[in-house]
Amino acid sequence: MFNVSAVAWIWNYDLSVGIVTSARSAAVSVLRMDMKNMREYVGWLYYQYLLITGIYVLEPWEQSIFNTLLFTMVAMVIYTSYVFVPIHVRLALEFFSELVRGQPESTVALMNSR
Amino acid sequence: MTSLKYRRVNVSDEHHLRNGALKAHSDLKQGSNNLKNGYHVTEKVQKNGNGDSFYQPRVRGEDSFEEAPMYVAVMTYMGYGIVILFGYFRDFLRAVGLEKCHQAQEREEQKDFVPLYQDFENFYKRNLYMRVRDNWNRPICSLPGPVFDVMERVSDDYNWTFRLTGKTIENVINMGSYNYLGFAENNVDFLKTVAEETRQYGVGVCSTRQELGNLSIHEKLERLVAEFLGVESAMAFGMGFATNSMNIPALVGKGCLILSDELNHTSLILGARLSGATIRVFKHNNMQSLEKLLKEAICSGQPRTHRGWKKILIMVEGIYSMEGSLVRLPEILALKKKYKAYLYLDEAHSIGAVGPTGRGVTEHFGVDPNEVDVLMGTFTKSFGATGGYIAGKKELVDYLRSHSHSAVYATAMSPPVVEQIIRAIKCIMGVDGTTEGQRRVRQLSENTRYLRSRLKEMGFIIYGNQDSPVVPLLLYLPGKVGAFSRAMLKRKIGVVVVGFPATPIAEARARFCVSAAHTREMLDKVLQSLDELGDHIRVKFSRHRPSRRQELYNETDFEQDS
Repeated sequence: MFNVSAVAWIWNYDLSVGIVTSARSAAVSVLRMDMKNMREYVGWLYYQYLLITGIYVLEPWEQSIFNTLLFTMVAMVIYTSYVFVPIHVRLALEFFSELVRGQPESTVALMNSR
Repeated sequence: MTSLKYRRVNVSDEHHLRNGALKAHSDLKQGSNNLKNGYHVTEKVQKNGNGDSFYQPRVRGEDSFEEAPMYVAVMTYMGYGIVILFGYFRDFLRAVGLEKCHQAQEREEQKDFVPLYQDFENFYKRNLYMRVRDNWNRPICSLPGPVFDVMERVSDDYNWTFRLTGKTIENVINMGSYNYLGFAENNVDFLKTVAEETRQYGVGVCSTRQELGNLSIHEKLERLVAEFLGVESAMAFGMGFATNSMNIPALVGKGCLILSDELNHTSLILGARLSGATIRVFKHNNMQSLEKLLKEAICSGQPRTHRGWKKILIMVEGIYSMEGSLVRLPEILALKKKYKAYLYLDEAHSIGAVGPTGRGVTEHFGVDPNEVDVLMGTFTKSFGATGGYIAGKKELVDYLRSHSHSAVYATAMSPPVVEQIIRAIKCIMGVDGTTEGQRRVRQLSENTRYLRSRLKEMGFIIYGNQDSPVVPLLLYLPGKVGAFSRAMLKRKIGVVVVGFPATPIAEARARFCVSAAHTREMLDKVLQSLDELGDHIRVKFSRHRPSRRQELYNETDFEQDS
């Protein structure tokens, strides 16, 4: 899995000196398709994620468990929002537009017509 | 307990040559007036700021305790929460048997008894401390001076056991030792007297001070300490921690009140608890809180009987070692006089390290040391030895000689250690004929100012007063604590990071102890590494980042100056 190769990088981050830290230079490297700097920057972002969530202190298999759980939750959120949010938005828009435009019409007629 | 009547007595001693402008006077003047380094000892009681012009109350810089942005606190708690959840998960695996438990466990027969290893302290140690344990207790194989050699060690089972690889990491810059004046050194010339005294007195004393262990070298040390501090008398003990914990019970007891600062050291807290007095805690360096407690204590008296307190003792420290903040001495002295309380000042870190000639916080604030009732300090930090002292009026010290637990039960100090303290004090006072001591004191204050100002410029959050040589740099997040220490060691700088039990849970920090033995190059190397590492790990949380240094040839500045 992705984690296994990333773990080998972790100890390198503690001593790398010329790391790309600013977003500007990272954007420049993306534009220029500079793969090495890009990979370094992504690696540094992963290192920051490890430090901030506190995962840095855990053993590699525990890090894998946490990453899997987090990835699963994020995937579910994305799926739900992709599938259901447009439907809900469309329904809400229809409801409010009917309220504004057709005041006498009852909501029962509105639902029967669909 | 006998009542302690305080009567002023002259300090009788030899006339040494002292540094300072008034060298000639000290040899000529006889009788009650002895001018020593600007302190004027007379028969009358000196008031702060009154009478003698040498007691100039000094302006004290403000302590800074900058708060981090809110997202840092959120991330800190989140990090701790996640690691604690994993701690519960691992404990579950160990309980079920899927994983071997490396820590001590109760025996099978004891499983129904009260559990020994289930409290939060053991949980924290098993699941959080063990994971980053390689940052503490690193074995060194040289003298802990400004640079030292660290032995390299690796762990195969995630820090439960270590093994030494055999290699040594050489010339690691030491930012963790309490070596304020650089006396942790191995210089043959400086240590000649120590060797002589060892040959004369031997190494072990094998007796307590009250039985057969009171050597002439101990008396010499105590006279010297009293002269150094500018008080009447002093007594030295073999261990700094025991000086506090064994002497506070001798001074106060049941029916007395102790008002102790929130962040006092464990030795003070232990001594207070052992004494049996009532303890009330006031907020750190907060004079309103202290005054409120004093008023309440005097108005309502003892808890149930409402009788007056026998004694009220205010316990504070000169420099607080985890915060780097200085005590507010003039205000406390004013409060003490107003409410008729006694003051116990623990100068463990500040003796030798603050003050223009290294006499401690009393000199730093321009206050007469005789106004503080009990002056306590240790020889561990600035003098490169071990032990502690208590100094004050002669009645107080004579009382302690017969009633203190240390004097009665503890072995006397070893002669080589005593001689090291004597030579260090003589060096600082200038009695040995060189200016080496004063040079070190000045170098320390320069190094402190340089390091603190540069760190603030870079944007780190630094706690404490601008004059204190203890510099805590806040890291907050638990993940960054381990990463910081390992990365600094890879850059050949040894730092001490401190986490939860010693500091509040959301304020983990790295603590630097500046030394007079650090050269400008060493400090520059440390600062450069901190700069790079601060950007790489992202610990520069300060929001008050001052503007970059102005160019030298900016015309508008010259106009303002002229």
